[in-house]
Amino acid sequence: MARPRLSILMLLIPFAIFFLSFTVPLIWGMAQSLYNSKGVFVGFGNYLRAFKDASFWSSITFTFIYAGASTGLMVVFGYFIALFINQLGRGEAVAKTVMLIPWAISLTAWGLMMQTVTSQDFGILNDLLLRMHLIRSRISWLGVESMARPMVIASRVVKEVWFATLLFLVARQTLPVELYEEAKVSGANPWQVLWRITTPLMSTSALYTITIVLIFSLQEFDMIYALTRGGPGFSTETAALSIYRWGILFGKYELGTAYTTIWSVFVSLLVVVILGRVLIRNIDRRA
Amino acid sequence: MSTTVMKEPYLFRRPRRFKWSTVLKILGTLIVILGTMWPLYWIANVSLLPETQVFKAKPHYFPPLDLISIKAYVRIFAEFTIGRYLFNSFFICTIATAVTLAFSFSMAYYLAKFTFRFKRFFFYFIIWSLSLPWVVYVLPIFRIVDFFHLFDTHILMIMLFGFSGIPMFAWFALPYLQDFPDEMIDAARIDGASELAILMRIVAPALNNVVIALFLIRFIFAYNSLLYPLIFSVDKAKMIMPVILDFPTPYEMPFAKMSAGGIISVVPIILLVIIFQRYIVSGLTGRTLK
Repeated sequence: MARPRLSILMLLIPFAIFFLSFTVPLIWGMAQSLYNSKGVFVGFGNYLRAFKDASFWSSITFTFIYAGASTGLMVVFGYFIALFINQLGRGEAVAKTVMLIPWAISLTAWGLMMQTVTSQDFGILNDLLLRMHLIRSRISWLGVESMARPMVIASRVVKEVWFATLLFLVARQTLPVELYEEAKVSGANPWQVLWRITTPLMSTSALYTITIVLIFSLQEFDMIYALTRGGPGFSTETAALSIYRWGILFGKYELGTAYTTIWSVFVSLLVVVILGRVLIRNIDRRA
Repeated sequence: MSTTVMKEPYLFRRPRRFKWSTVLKILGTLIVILGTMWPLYWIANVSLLPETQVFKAKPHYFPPLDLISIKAYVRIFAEFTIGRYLFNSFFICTIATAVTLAFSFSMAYYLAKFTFRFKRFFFYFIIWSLSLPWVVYVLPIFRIVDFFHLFDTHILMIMLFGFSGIPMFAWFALPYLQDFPDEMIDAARIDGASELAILMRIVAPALNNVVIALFLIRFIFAYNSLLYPLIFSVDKAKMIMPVILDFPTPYEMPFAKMSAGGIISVVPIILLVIIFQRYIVSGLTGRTLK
């Protein structure tokens, strides 16, 4: 290890560029949230207005429900699909090839596609369910709140579950074969192999997968914007959509910055309390 | 003369024993293919139907041969300057990705190969800023952009995409640089090479595959993202993702046109993914294993 000299600029220049172009504006925006649109200091006035707005709480809770539910479903399904694919022998290579296709489709195009799929009168989903006699009348998937929220989560899971699967599959393939041979010799049944060998050994990569999928889900803007624009009402609006609606569409910039501040504090707390531990263990091997 | 009996192992090989497990494996593979390919198939299917045939209570599961039409594509190319938007996307994403990778590799190299005080601070900063959703930067940057009259310019989009990925891709690159053998770097140092030269001439070429993998992943992330292009560009620097959102209007839901737009925007990325599949898989999963 060499002593740091002028070469510390290799660290400081990229850091400064990011810090000045993103972190400083964020802090500046937080300061602005204490003023009203005429530049008069109002303290926490904007925050009080935000807290009184019902759509604010609705979007915060929905973002957490959405991120939690989609992460949970993706990880559970992804795990078992990965173990299933691992048993496919030569089919596994084929599966690996096609698995990136849903990942490559942008969330925007995916949202538009799900509009055609879930359309009440012309969608393939209603048609398939009718043909299978699972439903009697056509369901308005995106028209009512009780259906739209699960549908939005399902749309995301159906796409990104393959990403989680890929992460799990590659992690599964690095597990030592000898362990499984040993288990076979000592007469372990598949159930024991799953819970005693595979799952404990995969827990590290599962933790990592949960973290990264959760971070991407908390970002959610693209797909919901393309699919429902936050509707019906504000029921599928995530924090990102809310900030966009208040700050850009409605032009209530100060309310938007108050919202931004609240949201970045919430996410930061989440990072400090939960995610940070996983990530720092992942990053800090030689520090 | 006696005829020699020739063994013909290849012609008369015993037929393979039929195995149920093989059938199940093929079936399982087909299920996976179905589960991953249906969205692409469905977009293509709807995009090839005439607009009137889309709105049927019994949807066409495949386009009937006599009905196939490319009208939706023709309409899009007639009404929108799609070529320019695609060019914008490729131009901005390529340069921005190069910028991101240059900065993030330099940052990761220093963090991996040097010891200094406050190192933990930089780790925490990287983790914090890669977890913060991009939307929290939008409003303040909007004001700043307005002040500098940078709205809807290529340089702004390049800066947004180029700088926003620095923490995340430094984090992606870090384990590869931590695993890079110190001996090679020390040898170069003895020869008097500067640290920047070592990164560019020795480390980056040796990690060629990693650089390609992370380049592709960053490019695809940038190309596919909607939030920044939607907010910071309206026409001149408009990228392809917000354009396909212009197809559905409050008065019209042209499913075929929306799907055709989806195909046009998605096909370049699908091609990249198919061609460079091996790199992308290793880049995406590298972090899980290291």
